[in-house]
Amino acid sequence: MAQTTLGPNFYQQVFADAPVIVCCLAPDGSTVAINPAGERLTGYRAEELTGHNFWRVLFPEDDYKQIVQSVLDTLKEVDLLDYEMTVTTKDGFPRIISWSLIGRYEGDELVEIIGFGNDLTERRQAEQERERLLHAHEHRSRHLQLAAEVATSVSTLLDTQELIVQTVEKIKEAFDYYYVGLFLVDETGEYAELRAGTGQAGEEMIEAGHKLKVGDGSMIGWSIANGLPRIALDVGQDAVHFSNPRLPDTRSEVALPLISRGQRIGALTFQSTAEAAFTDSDLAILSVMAEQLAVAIENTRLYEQVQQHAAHLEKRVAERTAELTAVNKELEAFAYSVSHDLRAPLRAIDGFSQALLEDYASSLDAAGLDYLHRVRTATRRMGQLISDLLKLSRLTRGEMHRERVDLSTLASEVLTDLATLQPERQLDCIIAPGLAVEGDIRLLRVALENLLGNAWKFTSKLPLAQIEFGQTEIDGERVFFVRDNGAGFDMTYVDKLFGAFQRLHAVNEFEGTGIGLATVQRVIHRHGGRIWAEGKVEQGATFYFTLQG
Amino acid sequence: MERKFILLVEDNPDDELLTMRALRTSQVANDIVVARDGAEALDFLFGSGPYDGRDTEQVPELILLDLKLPKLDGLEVLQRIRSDKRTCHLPVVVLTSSDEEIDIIESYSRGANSYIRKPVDFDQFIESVKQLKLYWLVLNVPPPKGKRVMR
Repeated sequence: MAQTTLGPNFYQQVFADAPVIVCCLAPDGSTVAINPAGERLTGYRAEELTGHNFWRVLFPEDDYKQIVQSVLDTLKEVDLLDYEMTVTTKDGFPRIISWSLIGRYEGDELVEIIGFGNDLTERRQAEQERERLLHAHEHRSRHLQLAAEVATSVSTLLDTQELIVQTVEKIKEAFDYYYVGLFLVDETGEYAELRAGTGQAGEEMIEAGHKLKVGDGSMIGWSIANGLPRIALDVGQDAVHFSNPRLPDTRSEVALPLISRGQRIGALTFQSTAEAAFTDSDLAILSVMAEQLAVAIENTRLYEQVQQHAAHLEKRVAERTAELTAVNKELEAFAYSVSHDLRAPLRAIDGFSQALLEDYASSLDAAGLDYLHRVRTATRRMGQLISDLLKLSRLTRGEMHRERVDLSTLASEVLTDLATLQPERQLDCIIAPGLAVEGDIRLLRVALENLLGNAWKFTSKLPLAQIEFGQTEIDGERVFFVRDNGAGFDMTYVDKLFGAFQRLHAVNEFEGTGIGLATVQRVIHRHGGRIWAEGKVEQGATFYFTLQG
Repeated sequence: MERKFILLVEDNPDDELLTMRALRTSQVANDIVVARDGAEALDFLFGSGPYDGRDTEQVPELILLDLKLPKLDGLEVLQRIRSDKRTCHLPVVVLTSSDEEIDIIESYSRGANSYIRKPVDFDQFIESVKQLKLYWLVLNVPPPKGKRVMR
């Protein structure tokens, strides 16, 4: 290994090879010596500097005498003087140098100044670049955050006007623009109307009904017509667009179209007092915001339409309800008058027929008596029809009182009542236990009375009636049924079963008014259920029904 | 000598005739006074209008009251009967075609003693009238006349 020694040329070597400026100056600032690094960095050769005042050459802009004086003064106070100062190279370029000066004294007298200079130019430039980037980045992220804030606020507002007014205010504040305005295309598609504008200028223009023709005449008109952004950065060349007397300080402007689902619905204008206020990054953010805003405007418009439809529907419903209520009232009045006024003449017909039979029987022959009996039979039947009709109408009136109802118990009670009336009949009856539902017990009793009453009636000609009440499941739905082995019916006429006064059997075969199943159907419908039937002539019938809830 | 009579308030002449016939068939011996609307019934009871000067101490043993009447309807007549000291204790039987729940409730809440629906079937009607007679004119003990119950 080579032995490192401080040879006789060591100091000269260091002077020559040092990567920093090393110079020796006389106390008056004139250059005594400068090393090659010094030559390289300043651009001057040593000969060009030697004998000349160091500061006068390298700092031509400054008062070198003052520098010399201040250096000498400071060196009296300190051993080492550090400072940063920019030199001007021979080519005229600035270089940032970090200086360290040492004064060498003999006794109290300064004999020379040794200076070291470290070039910081590139480091400083890199630092500046970093600063600049950092600043740009901060600027951008601040705008992005503001854009996000705008986006959040636009997505929560449901009122179009509120949305656009708030948005232009937010953008103006966030980007510190001179003016922000929003135009929407009118119904004809010919004009863009100013719908929101910041500041007093905006207020006045809206007041004045400011609108621009969609087309090439204005930045807004052009932007909407072409569906593209338009930027005017230079006042001088694009002066025509900055002629708005209400916005005299505008020096640059951007117009961005508002496009939602391919429809050009309007445009935004951003105006600044700076001559080139809009960077690419600003434009990118504004464009994203314009896209979001366009969608938000469409949404609020749709929401408003839906609201209007809903209000309209509500009004229609209220009107129809009022109509229905009126009709129901009329119906009630009708039913009431039926119960009074139709019965009175019937009673007279029946009563006087009876009076005739009692008082004048001797004056009538057999046919006369028969006719009178027929009159009475018909009268009573009509009386029954009126009663049944009234019962049916009552079922649709009146409120439902929902409670837990045990249909099995109800069915047993109904069948027991029927059996009590005709104890001589043979009945084989199956009732599934514990079939409970939610419903109006009064109405459900009427339904079961009719269904089981029918089963009872239509099995009356059989030696052994079989009646079943139970539950089954069809397509996952709970279905109740009443089944009998009686007269049944022809499925051809199944549609007629549930109509009022519809009968599939002659009166002399099975009596009835034809109201029973219409009544049952009404009860089931009021419970939100359905009813249907299956049957075969002389092979019984099954009535199925569902109940909601 | 006190006159025993029934006041029938009925506007329909057919119903009047049939009711009379039913009462006769049921062997009701009382006289029957007929009022053909609500106003006439009140005039009769309170001795006003065409009945001015009638001895209002003579009160019917029973009032048969139809509900649907011209001028004053049956419910109003009933209310006036119940609110007058002279007539408040008289037995009033509502005899009507209606079987609407509201009529039944209103009748009882205004103090009807009984509510009978006139059936279309005349045989049933006679049966109803028979029951009516048996209960109100035979079994029922009316409040003593001329004496007021303190309330």
